[in-house]
Amino acid sequence: MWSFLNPLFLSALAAAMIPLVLHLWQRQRIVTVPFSTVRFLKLAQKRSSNRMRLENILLWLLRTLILLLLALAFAMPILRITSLRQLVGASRRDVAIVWDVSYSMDYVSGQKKVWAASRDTVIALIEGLRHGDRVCLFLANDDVTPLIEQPTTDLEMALSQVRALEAGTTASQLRPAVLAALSALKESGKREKELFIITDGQKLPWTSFNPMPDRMDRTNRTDRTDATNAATAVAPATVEASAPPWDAKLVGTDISVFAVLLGVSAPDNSAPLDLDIQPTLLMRDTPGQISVDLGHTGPEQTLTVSLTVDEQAASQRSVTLGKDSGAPCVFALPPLTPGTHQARIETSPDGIALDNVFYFLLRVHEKLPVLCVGTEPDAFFLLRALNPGGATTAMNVQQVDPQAFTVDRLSDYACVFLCNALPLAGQAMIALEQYAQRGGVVVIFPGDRAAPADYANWTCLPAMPKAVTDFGADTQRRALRLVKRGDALFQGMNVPPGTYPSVAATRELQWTKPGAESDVVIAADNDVPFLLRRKVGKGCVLFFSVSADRRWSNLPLSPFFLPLVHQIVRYSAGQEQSHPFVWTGRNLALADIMGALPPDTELLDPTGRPVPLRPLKTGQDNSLGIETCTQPGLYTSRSAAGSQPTPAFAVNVMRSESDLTRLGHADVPTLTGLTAIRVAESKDDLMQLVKELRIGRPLAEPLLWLVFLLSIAELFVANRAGRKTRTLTEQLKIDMTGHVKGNAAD
Amino acid sequence: MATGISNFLSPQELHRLGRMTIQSRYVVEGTLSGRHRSHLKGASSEFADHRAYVPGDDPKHLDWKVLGRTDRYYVRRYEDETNLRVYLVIDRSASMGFTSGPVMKYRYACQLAAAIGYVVVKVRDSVGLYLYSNRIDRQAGARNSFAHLNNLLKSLTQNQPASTTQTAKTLHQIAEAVRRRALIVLFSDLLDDPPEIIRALAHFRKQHHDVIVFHILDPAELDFTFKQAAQFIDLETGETIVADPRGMADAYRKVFGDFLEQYRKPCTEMNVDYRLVRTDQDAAMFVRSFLEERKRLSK
Repeated sequence: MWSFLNPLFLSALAAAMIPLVLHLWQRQRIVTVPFSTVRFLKLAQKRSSNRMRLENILLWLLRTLILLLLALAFAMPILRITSLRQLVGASRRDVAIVWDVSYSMDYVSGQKKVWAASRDTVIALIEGLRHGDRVCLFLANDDVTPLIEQPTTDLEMALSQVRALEAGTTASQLRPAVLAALSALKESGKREKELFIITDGQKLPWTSFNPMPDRMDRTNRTDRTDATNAATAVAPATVEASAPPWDAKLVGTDISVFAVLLGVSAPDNSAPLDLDIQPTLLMRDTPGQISVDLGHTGPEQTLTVSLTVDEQAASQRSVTLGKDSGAPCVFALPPLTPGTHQARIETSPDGIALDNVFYFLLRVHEKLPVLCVGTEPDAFFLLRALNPGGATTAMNVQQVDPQAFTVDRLSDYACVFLCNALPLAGQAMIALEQYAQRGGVVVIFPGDRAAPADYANWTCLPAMPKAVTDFGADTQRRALRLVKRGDALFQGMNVPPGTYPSVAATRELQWTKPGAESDVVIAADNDVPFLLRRKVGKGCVLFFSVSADRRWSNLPLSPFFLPLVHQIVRYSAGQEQSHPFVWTGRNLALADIMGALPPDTELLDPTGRPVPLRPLKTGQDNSLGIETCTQPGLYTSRSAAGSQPTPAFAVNVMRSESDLTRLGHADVPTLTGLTAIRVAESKDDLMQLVKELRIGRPLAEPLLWLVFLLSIAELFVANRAGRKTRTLTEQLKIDMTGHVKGNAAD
Repeated sequence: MATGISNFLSPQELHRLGRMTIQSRYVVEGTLSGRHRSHLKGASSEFADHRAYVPGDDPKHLDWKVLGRTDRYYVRRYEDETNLRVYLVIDRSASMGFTSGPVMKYRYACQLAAAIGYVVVKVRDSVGLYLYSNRIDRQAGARNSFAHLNNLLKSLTQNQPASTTQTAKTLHQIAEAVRRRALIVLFSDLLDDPPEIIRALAHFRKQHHDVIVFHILDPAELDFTFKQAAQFIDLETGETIVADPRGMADAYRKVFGDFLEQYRKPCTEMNVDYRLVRTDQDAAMFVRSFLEERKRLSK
């Protein structure tokens, strides 16, 4: 459908007659020239008449066409694609805007601020709507936050909300927000529908459209980040799994989709992505080291990385990062006093300030608390092994009789040994299982008190005991074999030199076949299970086949016993429930982060303001938690109002967002499967595309270009007739004496 | 108003031409002894050949050396040297009245004729005139006086270009009229039937005349440098044609080049001295260059 902005100029189409009129007029006023003879002119005209006629017709056509196109261009024709819809009264439109509010949108490069540009774009889109048009707005972060869920005609309200919005602190994925926007547009009926995706051109949020993400393409550091996320049970993984899959067919043919990629063409950003503290169990006055994984997007760069502990500069490194690649950076950790220390890793300032600081806590232990449940005779050897040097050892061992065992403050212990403690009350069993679920280690030594049937109520055992075998006089020394020498349980274990692990048992527990989630840690005679392990939640349960005293075997007197139980305690401490940091996200259960929270405890955010706590359902439990934890930094807690706050946990923004690898213009249709998507690189480009869709494509400029090209052609054809050729005098080479030396044919 | 030779040549140009001579390339017949070779054997110092003695011959012409060697009687014969008779044949057809610049072709032909005539008379040779269009309009016999030359040139001034042309027919008439060997100098644009004109020139050559053809053309005729479309009128026939010069210039040059070639090649074959002269050249300078070259070639 065509229309003209200046239809008055259509009357200028009559100018197409000008060349013909001029031609006729020229014929009328032709000049007369006397010539010596016209016979040569007649011959020449006869020879060139056909060519001249063709050239004249071509010139006339060109000139007529130029004038026609000029008149058309000045009339400003518009190709209206949507005119048909306007005719049937569907000119009102619903606009859904998906706005990427991840922290990468806060990128600043010189004068260019991506967030400000994106806000200007959203404002321009809303201001470009007419009376009666409706708008809805969805924020794309790690999930979707509907700012205006249902399309509304209150554009002023929408504008005020947009102006007040700031970039978030989360990573981003566009799929949930786009799906929500499409869902909102479903109710629009016959109105025109437009969907706008405002983002920075980062590749990450678009990968969520890919129905089968290529895991091989992902870097190690991202895998590690995901693993840490999973450990803290942060929401994004859940969202990714729960969001419906993407199908390009969800976008109907009546929806016009636009995407604007506002970021800089060559972003430059560096960030600490993850860290690893060794040893995992930090003890008083024991040095350690922190390995920081650095990520980088952009050209090669030398980066300054500093470590700060308790607001004191501890160390600084200079690291050279290659183009779009990361590098590790290792810091020596000085011996620290027992307690919780605030620490952070900082990198040089760059385009995104939010991901330059990596917060974490260093928990330094003085003595490891260990609980030993069993009578004094049953636990005698174990207590001696755990506390060989009396008060000077690194462990604080508490022994309690099975009858006096209560489940209070189990989380205070790194490890719980049960020495001939079964059968236990049902409540104690459940408490021990929950303890293991949250990261505790329960070590079970059997004994004479419990028959195999007494184990039946336990649901977390590696294998169910089926009988107790009595060897009697047939006792034989059997070699013990560590089935997986590289297992975390044996890392750093020192066996006295010259000794070989062995045991001579008189009685032994026989098990049913271990479950799939269980494994044999130590085997006797190569194939008989001696120590079984089962992962339970974040912790585990270890189950010996012999008791902790001499009545079943000589294990307690073996040189292997003491390093083994020490190693189990260290391993338990490594499984501790509190992590050095957590990622920002939703529904953070405090029990997962910092253990059970005492009553009347107040949690403070990094700015010192109280954080509202909500009851959350995590697994089968109801516990307190933070509904939305988006502010990175060090959170503190205080038991009562006015008391000194103590560090609770550290929160960091998701580092996957730090990877600013840019999306190509042509990748958008490929990733989304939307071939008709219109992609712009700036606000002006987007508004031009919108204008072309809503008003139509103005054809004046292409027409003027065509006129320009035709003018060049006309100039060429017109001058071809009068082009400079060699004159006859030049061809004949007539000299001063009238001699003709050349030839006319030359 | 200047008349005669001063109407065509300035004193400086006359002074420069005064030292020039025009040389016939062939033997000529004259009435006076001169510096040109005659076909008549007579009293001169230039030996021609021997002839057997016949009774009645003057014994003084006997070649005694031949008689002494061969014991036979031979008479020595000498080439007779005579004066040159030059006939200026000038075309005054209407086409000669064309000009695209300051000088008309006819005027330019007159300038050339004046310069040649002056050189001829200066060395005591004779000059005559034939002025023609479609017939011989004026003719004058060859004489070697400046008064005669001035009279000839006055008559040129009095006759302006007009009428059609019949160059071939007129040249035949002239060839018949000039019985004794002479130098024929033709001044024309030769806008006639080339084969006929070539036959007429051949007629001259058959009569043993030395022939020089000054083919006088305007630069516009040669190069066809008109810019705008116009209605062209034939000066002789009055025919008209509307043409766009820019579109047909190439074709015109080709046609005109073929036309010129129809004269140049036969003239070369007939030993006719053919010269193409553009009217934008200085006439006196052209004549000087022409005479110097002709003198150099005749040695």
